[in-house]
Amino acid sequence: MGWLFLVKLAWRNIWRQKRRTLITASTIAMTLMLSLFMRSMQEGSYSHNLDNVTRFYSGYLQLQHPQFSDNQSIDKLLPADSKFSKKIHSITGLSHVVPRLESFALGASASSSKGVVVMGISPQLEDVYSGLAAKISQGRYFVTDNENGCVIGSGLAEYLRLELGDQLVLYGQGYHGVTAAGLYPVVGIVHFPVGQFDRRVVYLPLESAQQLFATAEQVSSWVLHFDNINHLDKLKSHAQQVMGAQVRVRDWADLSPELEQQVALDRISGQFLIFVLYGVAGFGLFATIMMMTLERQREFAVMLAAGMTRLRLQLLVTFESLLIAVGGLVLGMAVITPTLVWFYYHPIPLSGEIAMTMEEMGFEAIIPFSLDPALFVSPIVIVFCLVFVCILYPIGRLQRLAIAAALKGGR
Amino acid sequence: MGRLVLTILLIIAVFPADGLCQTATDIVRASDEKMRGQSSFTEITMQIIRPDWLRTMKMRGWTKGEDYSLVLVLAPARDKGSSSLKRGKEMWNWVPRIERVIKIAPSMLGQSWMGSDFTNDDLINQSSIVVDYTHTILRQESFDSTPCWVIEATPLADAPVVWGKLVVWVSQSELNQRKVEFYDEFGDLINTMSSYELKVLGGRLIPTRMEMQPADKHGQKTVLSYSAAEFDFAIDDDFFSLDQMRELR
Repeated sequence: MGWLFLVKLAWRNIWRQKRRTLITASTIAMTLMLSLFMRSMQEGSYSHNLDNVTRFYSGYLQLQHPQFSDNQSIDKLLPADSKFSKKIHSITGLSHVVPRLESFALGASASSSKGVVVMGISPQLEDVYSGLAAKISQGRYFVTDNENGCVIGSGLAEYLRLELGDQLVLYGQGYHGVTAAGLYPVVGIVHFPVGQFDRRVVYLPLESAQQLFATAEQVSSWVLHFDNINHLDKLKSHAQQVMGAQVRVRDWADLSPELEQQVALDRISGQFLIFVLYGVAGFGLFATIMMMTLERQREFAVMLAAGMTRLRLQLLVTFESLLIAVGGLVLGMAVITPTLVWFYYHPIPLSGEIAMTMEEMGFEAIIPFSLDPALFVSPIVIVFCLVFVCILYPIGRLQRLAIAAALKGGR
Repeated sequence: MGRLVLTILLIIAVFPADGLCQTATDIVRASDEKMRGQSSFTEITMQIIRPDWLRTMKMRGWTKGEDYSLVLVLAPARDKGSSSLKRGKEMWNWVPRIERVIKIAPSMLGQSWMGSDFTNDDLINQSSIVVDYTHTILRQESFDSTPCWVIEATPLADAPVVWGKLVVWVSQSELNQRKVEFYDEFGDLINTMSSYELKVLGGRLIPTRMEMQPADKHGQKTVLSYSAAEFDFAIDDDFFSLDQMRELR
């Protein structure tokens, strides 16, 4: 009696109770479909929204001076010359490389003053990367790299009572202790849904910011972007290797920990729900396997008496359980995979109030899906673990089966 | 005989300052007056020293009493003509590059003055050590081989000060503040200011080099060097005005 024979036997055995087998297998299939659908939606929206959100703030990766993070000092800068830029561009796999000079200053209008974040940006590169120009709600975006003008957040404009054409005074400390002081007419007002940013940000063209802070050709960070967030770790270590010890590579989770925590919390709550689902499916599977064992005590005793070894019998029930589980998996995958592929290319569009809220927040009003292979591996692993735990019962039972008693119909 | 000697020793030990008829507060007030007079004019070079860079600034300063002071920056060229005015508890900066007067808001008092290790608050509250603190003589100790009174200054309960306590070394013969240690409210040392190179400037023997050293930042300090000084000349209150600040070159 070879393996194949056992499998054949197992296959016939499970169809002795067609309805029960089908119900158990479809429970597994259903669980798989639900969990995959949900996780795919979750991961899809994480990576999609992360892409959206990080463009304005941290980016996926940033190059910084190793000590910049200590106190964001304007003295801890990176070069912005063509040699350094060439070195960055030798990192493979990047889609955007954007320089920024970020520092703090006092922003003052005729009526009041407030601490602001000054962002020196390369007008053209920044717009291609984050689409800043499209966010302008009043006035215009920068035209040249060194024009004497600023674009400010709408919340800040309101606080300082600044309108287009008014002068904004920036006053603070520049490179190596020099006084940074400048006068900039407001050329544009930009609206951000995140209030904290909207109330504090002042954009200057990079060269103007470099003059204000007397930094010469230097920047506080280089923002790196690429298409697939799943390549983050690989690209991070690659970038660190290329740039060497004089440059620190930081990822978005490091730069905006609150965003990372938000994602982590959401992900865990989703995973918890999925574990509950699999728990229910697991008990269904266990009940079936238990019944399949208990109702066949006499049959098992006969087979043992006829000379079949206990090990073979145990293998037989294992195959039976596996066949049901694999059947469920195949059924589930067959339905859900094409569904997810469809949704991946045709994300669900949202409409009405939710759509407006999301667009307000800077997100695209869609529910995107992810096709990350890792998503598909974990349910398979979980189902096989369930099977492994469940078959311990029949295996133990068969090991202890008293042949004579079972033949007589006892237990 | 032995008992008498012991009594005398005890008296000396308990009242060490009595012989000079000076209380701790008198000593601190005298040392404060020494550097300022009724009015003062100084020419100062300020060096900001950092592990990887150094910046030198030249400036002129005027003070009158405890309430008025004005500092004008002469060099470097980028900051030439900038000035800081203090009247009472208020402070303004004049920035010629943008032709604007900027009032230093209370929230900015803790920030660095002109990128140095001095804060705006240090400039505004120079005399605070006399009026906002109570003083006790701790011991006598030499600093820079000069015998000094070591005086602890504890802020009054409702005084608007940032420090938890100050410890001042005042030279016994000349009544110069030779060293000041600044402690926060947890008793940790934050800054140390030390003075060296006594010279006669403007008719007074004063230290002409002062170093401000933050406790936790290695290789970082600010050095003030006095090249000229005058004291006790007549100067009008109007000199310390926003208009005057714009006029000075």
